Amino acid sequence: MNVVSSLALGRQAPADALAPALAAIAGRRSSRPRRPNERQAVEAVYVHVDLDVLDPTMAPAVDYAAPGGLEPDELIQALHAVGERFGVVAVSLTAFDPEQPDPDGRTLRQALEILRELVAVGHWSNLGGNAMTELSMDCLAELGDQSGRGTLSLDDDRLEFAGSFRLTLQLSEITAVRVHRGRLELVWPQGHAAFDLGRAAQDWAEALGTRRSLLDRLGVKPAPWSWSPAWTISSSAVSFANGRAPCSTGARRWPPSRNRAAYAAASVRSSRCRR
Amino acid sequence: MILGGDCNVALGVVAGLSGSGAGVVWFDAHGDFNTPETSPSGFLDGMPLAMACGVCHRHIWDALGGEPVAETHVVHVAAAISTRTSSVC
Repeated sequence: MNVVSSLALGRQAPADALAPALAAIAGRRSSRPRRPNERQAVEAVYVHVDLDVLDPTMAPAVDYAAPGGLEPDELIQALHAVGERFGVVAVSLTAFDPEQPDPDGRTLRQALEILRELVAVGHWSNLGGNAMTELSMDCLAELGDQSGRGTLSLDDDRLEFAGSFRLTLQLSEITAVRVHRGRLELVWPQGHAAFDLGRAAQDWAEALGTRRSLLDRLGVKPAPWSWSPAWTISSSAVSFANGRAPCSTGARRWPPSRNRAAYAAASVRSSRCRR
Repeated sequence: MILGGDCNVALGVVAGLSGSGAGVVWFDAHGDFNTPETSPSGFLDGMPLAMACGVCHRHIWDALGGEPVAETHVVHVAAAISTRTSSVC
């Protein structure tokens, strides 16, 4: 076990405080073949956050508050330090207790903020050596009555086409994605476009779907909303039922070939309930 | 992504990642590394990381399937209370 205390985190920048422990689990990175009993160096991690890691003044609505916890900013920096070093393949956030007093909803706000950061640090698209952080392809495109060749590219939150005409779309604007005979068809409130991508069209649609909807599906929004009991999830149910099914799917496919590392197991249903 | 009431949800995640070589980074004010021998109350929520590492309640892995994560592949961050000798709960 490699332990980084909250004291250590208070004494230096979170990234520096974590560095030795992260290096310890990363192990060696050598081209020498692994010996039979030698453990493989860790390249991917699961990040678990119990909200009580935050100082009780910031996040009081937990069952086992402990004084001397982290400032939210320290936690966020620490999460990013982990995300920069490893591929984050799974995350969990636990221990918010809505029955505990929570002045001005601060614990909930912190929980949502951390959830956003956890989604952000996940290298969801950067696993298994098949990075799709920047997907790019030359293709024929149609936009309204225009058509022409150019390069279609996708980054974290935006789709761009540059060629005989230009198009920039925020993924959040897109309302429908369809693949028909190798054509990727997109619809947004002001228009629609189609891209001839051939066999890659389905992959593009999947990549778009994953990126566009992860936060939407989770219902993570910065504005405060009323708490729904549907969000309170039985730990045993998640561990032994919901939690296991999607994760074991992931393990069989390891390393994931595409953006398959975000397992929204328990949260999908609850976000729908809230709407 | 898993949201949970307590930290034992992590067991399902660790089981799912079993065999992938993934490590665990655990942010918690408590060690979560109690065992029935070290816990005054036997409270299960003081033991999730110990169970995830296969240190106690090994039989739970029969139900989970897969393998516990190696302790050497775990980083525990921000334990205000000592990891090995967590006195809480």
